[in-house]
Amino acid sequence: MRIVVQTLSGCSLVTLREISVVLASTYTGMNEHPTKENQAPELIVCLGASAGGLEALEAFFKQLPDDLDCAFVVVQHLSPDFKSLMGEILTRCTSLPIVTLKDGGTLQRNCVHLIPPTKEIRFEGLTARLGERPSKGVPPMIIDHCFQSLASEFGQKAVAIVLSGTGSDGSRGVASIAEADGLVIVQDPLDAKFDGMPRSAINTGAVHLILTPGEMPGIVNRFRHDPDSGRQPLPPLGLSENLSDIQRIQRALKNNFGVDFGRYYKEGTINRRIDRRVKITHKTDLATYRHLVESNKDELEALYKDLLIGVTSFFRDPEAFEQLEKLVFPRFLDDTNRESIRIWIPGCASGEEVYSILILLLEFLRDNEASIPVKIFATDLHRDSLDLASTAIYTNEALHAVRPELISLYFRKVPGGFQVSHKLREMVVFARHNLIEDAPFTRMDLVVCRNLLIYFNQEAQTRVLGLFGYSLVQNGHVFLGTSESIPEKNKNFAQIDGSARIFRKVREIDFVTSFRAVDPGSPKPGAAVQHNPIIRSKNPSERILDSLLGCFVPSGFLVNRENQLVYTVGNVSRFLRLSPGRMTDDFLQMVPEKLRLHFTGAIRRSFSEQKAIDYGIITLDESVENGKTERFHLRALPVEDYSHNLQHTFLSLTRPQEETPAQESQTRAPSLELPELAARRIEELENELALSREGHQTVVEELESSNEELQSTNEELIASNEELQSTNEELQSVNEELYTVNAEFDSKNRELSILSSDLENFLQSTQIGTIFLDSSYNIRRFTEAAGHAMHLRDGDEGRPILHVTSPLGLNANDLLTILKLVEDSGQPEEREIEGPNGACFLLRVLPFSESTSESPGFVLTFVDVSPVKESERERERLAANLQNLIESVDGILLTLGKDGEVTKPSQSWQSYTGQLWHDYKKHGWLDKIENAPRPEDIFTPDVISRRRFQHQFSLWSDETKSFRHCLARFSALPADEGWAGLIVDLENETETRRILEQKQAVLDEVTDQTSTCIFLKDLDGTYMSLNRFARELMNITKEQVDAGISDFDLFPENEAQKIREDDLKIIESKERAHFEETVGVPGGKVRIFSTTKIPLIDQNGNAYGLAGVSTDVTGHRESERIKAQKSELERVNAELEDKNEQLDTFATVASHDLKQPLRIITNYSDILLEEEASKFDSQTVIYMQRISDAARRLNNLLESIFEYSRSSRESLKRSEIDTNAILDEVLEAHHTSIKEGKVQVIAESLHPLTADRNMFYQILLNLVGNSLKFRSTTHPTLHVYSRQLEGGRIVFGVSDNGIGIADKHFPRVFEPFERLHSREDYEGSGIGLSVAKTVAVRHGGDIKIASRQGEGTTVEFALQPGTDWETQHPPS
Amino acid sequence: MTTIALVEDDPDERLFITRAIDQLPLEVSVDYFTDGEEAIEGLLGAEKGTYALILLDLKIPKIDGIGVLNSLGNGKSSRYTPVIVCSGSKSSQDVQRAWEAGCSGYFAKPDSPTGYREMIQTIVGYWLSPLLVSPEA
Repeated sequence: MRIVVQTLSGCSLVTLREISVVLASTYTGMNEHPTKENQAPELIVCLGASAGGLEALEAFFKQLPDDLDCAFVVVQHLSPDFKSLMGEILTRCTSLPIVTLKDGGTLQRNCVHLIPPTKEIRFEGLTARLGERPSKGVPPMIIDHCFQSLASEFGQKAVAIVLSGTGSDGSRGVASIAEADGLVIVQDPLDAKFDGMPRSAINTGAVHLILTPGEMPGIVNRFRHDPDSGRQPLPPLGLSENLSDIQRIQRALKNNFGVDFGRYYKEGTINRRIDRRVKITHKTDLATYRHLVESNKDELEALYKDLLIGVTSFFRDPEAFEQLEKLVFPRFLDDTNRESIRIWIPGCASGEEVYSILILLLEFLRDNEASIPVKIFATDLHRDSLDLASTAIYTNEALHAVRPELISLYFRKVPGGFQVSHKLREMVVFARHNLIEDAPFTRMDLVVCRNLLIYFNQEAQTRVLGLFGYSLVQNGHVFLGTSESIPEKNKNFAQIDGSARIFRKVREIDFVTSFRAVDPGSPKPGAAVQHNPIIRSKNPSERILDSLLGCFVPSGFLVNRENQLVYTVGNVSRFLRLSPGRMTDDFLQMVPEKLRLHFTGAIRRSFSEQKAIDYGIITLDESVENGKTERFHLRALPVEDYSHNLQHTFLSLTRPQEETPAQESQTRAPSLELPELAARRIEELENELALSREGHQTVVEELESSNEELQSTNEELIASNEELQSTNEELQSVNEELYTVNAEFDSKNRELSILSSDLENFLQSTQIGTIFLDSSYNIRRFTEAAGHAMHLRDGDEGRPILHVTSPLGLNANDLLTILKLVEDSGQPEEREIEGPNGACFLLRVLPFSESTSESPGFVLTFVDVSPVKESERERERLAANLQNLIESVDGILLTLGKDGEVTKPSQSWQSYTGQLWHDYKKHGWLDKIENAPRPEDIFTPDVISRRRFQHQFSLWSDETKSFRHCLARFSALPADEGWAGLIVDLENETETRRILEQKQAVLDEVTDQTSTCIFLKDLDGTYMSLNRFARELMNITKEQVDAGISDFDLFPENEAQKIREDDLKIIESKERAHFEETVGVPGGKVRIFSTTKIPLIDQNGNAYGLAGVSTDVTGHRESERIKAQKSELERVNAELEDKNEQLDTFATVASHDLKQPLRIITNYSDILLEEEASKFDSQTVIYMQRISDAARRLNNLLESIFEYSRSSRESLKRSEIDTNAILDEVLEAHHTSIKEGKVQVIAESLHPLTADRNMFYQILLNLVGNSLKFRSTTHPTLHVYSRQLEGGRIVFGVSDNGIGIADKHFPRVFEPFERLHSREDYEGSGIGLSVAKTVAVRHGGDIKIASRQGEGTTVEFALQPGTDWETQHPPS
Repeated sequence: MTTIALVEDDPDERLFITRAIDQLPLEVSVDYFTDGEEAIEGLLGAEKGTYALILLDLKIPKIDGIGVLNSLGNGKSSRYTPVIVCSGSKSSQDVQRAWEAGCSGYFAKPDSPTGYREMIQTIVGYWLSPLLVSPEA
């Protein structure tokens, strides 16, 4: 809670304890509690509110306890033109009764009183007197009026509360209340929606407490209750003592710290801060605190610190900093020759702002790639702050506004936080500096002075701004705090950015002017003009000064612009003459006529040229002292005082010998011997001048008078302005009224919209289709459900309902008839109508009730009654079924009452016994029973508690005319209504049993015919029955089953045990279950059975066994397993194919890419061998040859890999091929070898073939190549042939008589890269046969080899599907 | 002076080819480009008749030889300049594609200096001899 007690001095803040004292002092001070009989309210609380007051009132009354025993009067500016809803609104906030006062009404305790609009109130005791509000021209001051009356009537019992509002109503009233010792509470202006009235009231100084509305009731209560409060007076209101205390505190500060707070700082600020210290040190008043300050240095220091230290943080007001960066920093880059940037930051406090500016600037320079040295002068009055700033360690929290990357760039981590980096720190000079009294820093580009000026008074602000002007270079900038500004009249600065408070110096400022402007020694500017320059009396110090002047300053006169003698120095009496006549202070009239000319000239020139004039030597004859002629050096020295706009000239007269040679060289006056003529001329001119002066004077006077006229016009303007102001106030009050009305409407509107949305939601939630019609049957509104039923769309509001084509079975004419009916009768009508798809709707048409609606109309509701209809039909159907059932029962149905009397006629009884209703009703039915028991014997307590009974007796049958043995079974009806039962003729039962047996036989036959096992077991697991299929499967006979057999006899123990456990589970749970059982059956086979077992339950719900059906699913399971394996194989296959493909691709790429560098190696080695061989010795050449060979071999190898991979990869292009031509090509390719080896070639004519031509060539080339390679040394032969197998397939063969292959190698020859010989013996990569094999297999054919070591080899291949043929060597 | 454009990224290959060209008894200078983009830019940008012949590798960075061939077909200046593909690939697919893209000749890269000499002599003898003036002549 914020409590401020404000005295007239406006500077005293006291603790809560004191407030209660204050409150108590205004309380009337009854010693005993008021008796309840006395209904007079204890306090009269009057609340004045205007614009925005509604919220405040709500807040107040919400917190108000209802037992405060006070009367509340609400005075609000209300518009006379609108009905006020104030009462209703306040009802929601308080339980107190709310009454609108009438003239003569009495104020009640615990009651809220409202004043009607257009009235104003005054009190006569507890009686309220209402008067008409003054006519419209005058702003209403009803709150003032009320308060004043309140103060005079209730004095200390009055509590005035001023709430939100504009204008000043209430301010006069609170003063009256305060005078009458009432309590004045004002809403906190910061809390109020409109702070005009609260501020105005606070400004009167008559306010005791400033609170939020919610806090007020508590305070009022406290004020009422405090019992011993009474008699202490309010704290003194006198000004002088407190002020003198404050002055003394200020003096102490000045003495100790040299800072004159009283002179330059805002009084309010200083007082507030001192008040704060008073509160902190728990002193009761200023005087005691003043003693503390005067005696305790620490407190003085603390106060000093409090006065100086402001709040500062990094990048405070980021927007302003952005503007600074945007508007000011770029200016620094304008001048390319700039040597440095100089910034002065006075009032730097703990330095956050200094580093913010510096970081911002450095970042800016970095972004613009400029490197200009930056120098910042940061000054402050407070030494501790400066120490903090120069240590420059800040906590994490303090740095939260600094971007992390900047922290890492400009700070380093130290214990306790982050320290500014050395680089940054070195750019700043910290110094203690008194902004007001010390000389400013100069040549600054920017002065940053944020939130300092606000503490200075006007005088100090002007002075400081002057200093800044002097300090800045031309076009330098000032950056001020957000709430500071430079007055527009100060033409030295131009505003650059209003919101960021950036200003530019646009005019040069003279230091002297600015500095002397408020020189403490000089009188205030206003006073100076009035000052009489002639010294009339001297005090002792002035006399001393005078004599000093006489010693050190040459003799002379100080003359002002009007030629008045202001001051004399030294003994100058010899220059002065008193002329007879009227006394004058015109200096020139006092000097001898001969000198007058010189002095006139000297004075004039010094004034006009504004510099020291060396007039030269003048002679003064007839000296007063000794009558001798004396020579003097005359000089005129202008002396200026700009601040007072005063100009003087000092005429110094020195003897020539006193002069220094240097001075002699100064300007000399022209010869002073003037001719007579010239002298006369001068005299004439002077006269003329005098005349023009007079003329000038006249003009001045005229101006003066017109000035006065202007003055009076101005006053008139001011007067009319005041009138306008009062009109304005009137408008404002009207405005307030409007605002109040608006607020009420607003609140009403909210309620309405809530209501409307409630209604909307209700209508939607009922799911009842509702359509509102106006009197002309137009649709006014409809719900979603109705829209659905009637096919209405959003735009259909306003359409006549009769135009709507409805899907319901309701045509426009019917509807019109219904509507007319309702209209005429005023009574609701209902119709059932059919909808589409057999839906049924209940249409209800109601007229608008007249009390709730202004315009007549209708409400149509559609209720979907289809489910009701449906259930009705269902019920009828069930009843019919039941009737059929009853009729089909072979027995007698009878319903008995509680005491065994027949309650309903029974057709079956009647037809069996032949009794009529009136005979057998009640207990008449017992007549037809032989030896009928009495009802009470039948319905024994035991029977009643079991709710069922069974009884056998003999009943008369009308058909056989005899008593027949019958069984009756009765069950109690619900709710003890009686009994219902069936009587069965037992003599028919034998027949029934026969039929049952027959059925059993059929069933057995059926079960025996199925190829499924069906069995029944009892609780012990013994088979009661097994069908034939099961018996045959188990290889047992029906007799064995009948003899008693269990699973333990049929299956191995563990399997039987398992089956038994499953059975028990089913018996226990009484629920069917499904099993898959794997069992061994006779014959040693294992079968899988899918078995469903069902518990057998008797009438009493007890299990007496189980039934099972088992199907042999062994074959089914097996095929499933094979299928799964197959799909797994397929998947693996696909995977393998995929991998194969990848490998192929890899081989291709690898061989291709490997070949490239290899070829380069070969090339280089060939270059060396062929062209540079002479440079190497023979051994090197051999080695190089080896490299070359190896590379070539590798090349061949890669070639082979490539070929192999291609053979398995390239798609087959089958075509009819000329096999003989290909053979020729192959032989041609190998003709060198054939020739060299003298090989005898036997080439038979080959069969034509459809195959891939290239691949066929490839195979043949490889096979022939192999034969040639491994040829015999003696008479080598090569035999190429083809032969046709049975079925038409062609086999091609290549046979030789070469070295042959050992049998053991056969399995390996078709493996790729398999070589059977060393490289020295036979060249080759071992790929040829693999390629041939791959190609053949891909064609669906195969390749076969037959060989004998030392005798030769035969290879045969087929490129057609089929692999079955025999290959022999030599071929047959 | 006759100039041949050589599009080849491998410096070794360039050396083999220029070496073979240098061994010709003719004054032929070689401008080379090391990738497809550079080649297209240089060849399309050149004035007509700048290059008497273009030797083009297929496997070059950025845009491959086929791409270069396609681009050259569109440019008017180089349309009548013979483009001889000299590739490390002997794959029939590559040969096919090169022909389809409009090359004037296709040579598999030789694997000996002699091979290079022979290839260059063949190329020069076939496509350039009418244009060349032998220094000795």
